[in-house]
Amino acid sequence: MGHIVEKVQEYLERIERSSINAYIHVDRERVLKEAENLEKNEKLKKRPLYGKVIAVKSNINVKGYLVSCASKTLENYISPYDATVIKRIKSQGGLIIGMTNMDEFACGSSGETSYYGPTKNPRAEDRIPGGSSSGSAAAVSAHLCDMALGSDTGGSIRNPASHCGVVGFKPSYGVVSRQGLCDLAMSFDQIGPLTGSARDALLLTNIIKGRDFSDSTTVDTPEFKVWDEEEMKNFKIGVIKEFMEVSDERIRERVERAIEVFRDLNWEVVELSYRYIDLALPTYYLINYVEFFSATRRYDGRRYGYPIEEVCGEEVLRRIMIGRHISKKEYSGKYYKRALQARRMMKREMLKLFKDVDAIVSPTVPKLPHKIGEKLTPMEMYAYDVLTVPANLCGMCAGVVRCGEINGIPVGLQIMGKPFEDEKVLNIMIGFEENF
Amino acid sequence: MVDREKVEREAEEIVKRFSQILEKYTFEEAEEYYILEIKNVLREDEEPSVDPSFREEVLKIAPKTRDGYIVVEKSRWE
Repeated sequence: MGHIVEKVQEYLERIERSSINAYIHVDRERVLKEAENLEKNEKLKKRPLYGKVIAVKSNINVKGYLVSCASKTLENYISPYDATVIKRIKSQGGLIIGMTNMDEFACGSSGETSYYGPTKNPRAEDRIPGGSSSGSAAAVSAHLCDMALGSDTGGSIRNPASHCGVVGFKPSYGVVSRQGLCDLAMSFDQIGPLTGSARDALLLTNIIKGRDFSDSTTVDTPEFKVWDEEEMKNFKIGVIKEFMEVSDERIRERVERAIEVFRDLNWEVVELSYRYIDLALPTYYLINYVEFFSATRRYDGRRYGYPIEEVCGEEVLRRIMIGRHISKKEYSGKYYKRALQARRMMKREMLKLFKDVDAIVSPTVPKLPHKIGEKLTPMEMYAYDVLTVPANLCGMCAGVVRCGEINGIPVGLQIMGKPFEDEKVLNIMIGFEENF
Repeated sequence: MVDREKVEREAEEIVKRFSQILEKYTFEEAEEYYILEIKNVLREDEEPSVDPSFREEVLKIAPKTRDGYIVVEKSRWE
């Protein structure tokens, strides 16, 4: 028995023993067979992802796996094809171990809206792991895989990465193909990695990124390399004071301590102001509702699954209802078009800030994760996203690295970069990890 | 079981609160529908390749099939 099969067996045993509900679908026999085949495959042995065991969020198509989006709507949907990112992972020697839990159709920030029950936070089992890529973050945190894929529409990679104490990276819009991703909001969605280290995040991003003719919004980007100190000399880091002010005092304190790492590297740290933080949630959600409503029209139960409105959970239904309402011609000027105007203004003002800095750092989530089952109003739940949605609204890249904990609950530092400066942000994440 | 009335009430409240915030601002910008300004993406002309198992896999998950096709009810105008 080779080392990949052994590793896979160990993961499978851990998954079986685990009580955190990170996975929705694991096919033991299939993955062991694929591990055996991989060991015999001479062609793949020199590929950068060879033997890496990867978990996949249940809204990314993997042929032969249940791609349910954690909804009853798709409880019988066995995917007939591989998404572009999956084809790329397989072609570079990666092995898919299974499909992870998530908020239903990625509508949530807690991991609690899944039809398959909530995922527990491996670092604090009575707490939410964050969402919507809850299972992917939890699986990495609990060592139930080497790395994982998530998707991020308004923070769905970064939020659970922060709560579970792992690394998460949302690439700039257009860097990674969305072909084969069940979309939540097509103008925001990006697939990205959840990993144990920033170096692994760079590795996996390199594999999945690149132009794809199946997704006309993708662009070509050169290979992302690990930079040396000289290449990162005299970087300037911005801190937006309004992002700090809305955050829990204890989180702020951890982030301020983390910022000292950059000062120790002799990088300049400057305070910035962004006056439009109150626009972030209305702008993001009003666009999200309209795009999600449009995306869900395919779930009519004719070709597969069940009609979505007949079986979905509360948050999904709420978004469909609002999306239907505000898409009506008579209302679109009042809500949707205004939100699109706000998006342009927010982006313009945010990009101005990047004229003077290399990256902007902030807390990832303004508050600590709540206890599983605690009742929050929809607006309280949306408030988790206030610091992550600006990156999606502006098409920026943003990553999260662990920067401490509060009573055992991890806290993540968010590092944001200009659109298409993914390589720089990933290197700042690596630099931070190595010096923290 | 989803309480549709509660969901509707909450939905109305959310839209009201969000639109109140948006109304505080005057926007002169054009709407931004797309994040990237990419237009007219064309692929190379080539023979299309389709996974031969795709059709069979799609038929397996369809609720009703006949003679290799999916059978669906015609849509109704509402």
